[in-house]
Amino acid sequence: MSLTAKGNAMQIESKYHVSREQIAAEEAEIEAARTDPQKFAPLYDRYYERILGFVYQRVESRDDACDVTAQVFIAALENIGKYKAQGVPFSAWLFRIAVNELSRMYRRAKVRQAISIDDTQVEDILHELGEENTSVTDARLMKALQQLGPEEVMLIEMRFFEKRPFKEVCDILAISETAAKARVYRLLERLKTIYTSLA
Amino acid sequence: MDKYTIKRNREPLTPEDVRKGKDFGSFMNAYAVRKKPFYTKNWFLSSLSVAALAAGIITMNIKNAEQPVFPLQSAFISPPLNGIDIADTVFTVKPGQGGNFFSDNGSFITVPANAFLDSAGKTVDGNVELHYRELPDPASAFLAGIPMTYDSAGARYHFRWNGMMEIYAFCNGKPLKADPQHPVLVSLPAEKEQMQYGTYYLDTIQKAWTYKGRNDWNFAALVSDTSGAAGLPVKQDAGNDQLLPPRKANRSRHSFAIKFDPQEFPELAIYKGVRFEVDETKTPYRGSDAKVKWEDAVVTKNRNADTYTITFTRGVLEKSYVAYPVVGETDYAAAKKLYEEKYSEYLQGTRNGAVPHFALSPGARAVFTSDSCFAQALALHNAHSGTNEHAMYMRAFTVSDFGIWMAGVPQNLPQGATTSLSLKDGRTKKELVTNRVYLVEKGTNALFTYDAAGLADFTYDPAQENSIWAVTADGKPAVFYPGDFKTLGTSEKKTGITMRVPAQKISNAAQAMTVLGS
Repeated sequence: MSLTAKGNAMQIESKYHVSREQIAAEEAEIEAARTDPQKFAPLYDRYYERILGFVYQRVESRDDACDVTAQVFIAALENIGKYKAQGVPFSAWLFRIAVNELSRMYRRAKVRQAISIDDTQVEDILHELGEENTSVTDARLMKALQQLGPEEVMLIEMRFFEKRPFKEVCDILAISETAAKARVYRLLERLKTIYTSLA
Repeated sequence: MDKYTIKRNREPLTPEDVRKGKDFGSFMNAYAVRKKPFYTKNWFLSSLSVAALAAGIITMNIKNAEQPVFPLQSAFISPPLNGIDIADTVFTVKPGQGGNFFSDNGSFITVPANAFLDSAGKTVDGNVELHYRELPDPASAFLAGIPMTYDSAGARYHFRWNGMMEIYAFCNGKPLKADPQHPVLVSLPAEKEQMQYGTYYLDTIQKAWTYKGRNDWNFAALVSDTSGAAGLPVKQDAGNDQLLPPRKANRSRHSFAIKFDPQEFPELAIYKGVRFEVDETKTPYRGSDAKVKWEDAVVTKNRNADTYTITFTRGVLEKSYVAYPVVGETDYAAAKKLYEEKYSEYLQGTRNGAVPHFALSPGARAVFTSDSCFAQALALHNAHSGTNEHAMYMRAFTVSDFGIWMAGVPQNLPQGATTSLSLKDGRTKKELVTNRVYLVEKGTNALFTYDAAGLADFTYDPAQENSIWAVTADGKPAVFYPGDFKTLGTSEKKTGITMRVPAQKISNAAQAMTVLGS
């Protein structure tokens, strides 16, 4: 993945779907890192930027993003012996750790949860809710987002702001595609209800 | 204070930001100096026994990497077992055309043209992904994490159901709404049950099931013109090429052996030793008739029934009996086998386009737009359930909103015995901490849900074959099987029961269902 600017927004260029050969090569790197932590370097180099970008979208500052990202990779290296390759990209496992690490940090109030959103994304989500983008609807949407739970915000971010494919969302959240789609569906309904109640 | 800091139009990270934190050498230093917990140090590990390691270290060493992101109990609909869910089927629909879709078990989804609306309320153009799955029984509802309770007037009820399904639509990954003007119709095979069911929709905003009206036993789709009983396939070109399932003779009933023309009655001619057994509910048998030397007997097939009328004559004397064709006990097995072969050929013919005529009930005719639709649904249903039925009882749902629909009836908790339960984890023999416990009665399609606090007054019907299901803190199924239930008393004092937890990893819904005993 790379982080590119579209307007002022951070967008995901999805490189989630990797070939079997790539997965096999990566598994060899993972195997090597299990016995020698120094051999974690290629994995670290490959995924650092993606994880940093993911975390940055969800915390208030660059420093917080760097701290949490470091914790994510430390947790990954400590647990790499437990990683089981099951056809799911290694990146999904790292993102899962990142989500858990963020949740832990939020819970302990070590960092504050941020929602990074740009004008294009506001317009997109208002469109999903069947609304025009005006200053009034924009402000109402911001209030509605405040009423969602942390996990609901995460799902909105992954699916609608970062436009991650369902497959990746499922792998990160360790849920089935059915469950992910159903959750997204219900979440939009809930957001719409909250949004409407604020009118 | 706001819960979240909203960052609008945020500056993206620069390459410099990335470079500053990315240095692997610095990372390894941080990794090395990170204070290791004492319980991972070698001196500590070596001082403990294996048992202590298992009990202590594993518990302490649980890393967030191994835990699901969202606490499974937090979501309203949340599959309780890690990574296990009921799979769905995805149909691709051209929204301008709609279409008919079958699931593997014979469920039938009718999608009219322009059935989908986008978030702005406009009809969609692109291909639509229709996600569909069924939750027919307690195990599937449990594994899918569907709440099966219903609160009404301050009382809690538990659903018994006969048909439940979930349906969602997406276009380019975006969820769609149902257009109430062009609703999708879903008909699913259901058990033949006389109980009155209501139609319920799971409102995930209100987090409650909502009653939508009566769900009648919509129709019995019969494969012949018979009026009530399971019927027979009848080919369109009249009644001379029918297939009739054999019926075993009952020795206690009167029957006649009559020669008939095999050209006229091919459906009878394929069986050996056919006799006609009197239907005494229609025509009581009179013993004196057996003493008459009848000169002739005429066999005629009765319309809309699988009976025949036998009319005996002698001069002006005439006597008629309504009778079923039957096969003697010794010939019955061969006749049944033959029938199954012929019926299989017939279904194959149906699949190949040789569509027979079906006499469907009006309800069925409203759903199945053509005979071939019904033939296909029936064939799929038979193949899926390993049956050879000629009728299919179905419940239909008009999908005004996408989501979960059910034909259900709220029930009270079973009664008969009460005890105060406490659960133990069969692996550790320690208390099993869980939020909910489910009671399942074999033969009752219901999921009785107890909150952990309600276990002090756990009621059940000892006359039933009961099971208890729960989920351990590490996301495994825990089961108290019917055999174990026999040991359960009715003491008001706490009764500890040991829940069996499988040692093997459960990796799919089928395995989970086996563990649940379903």
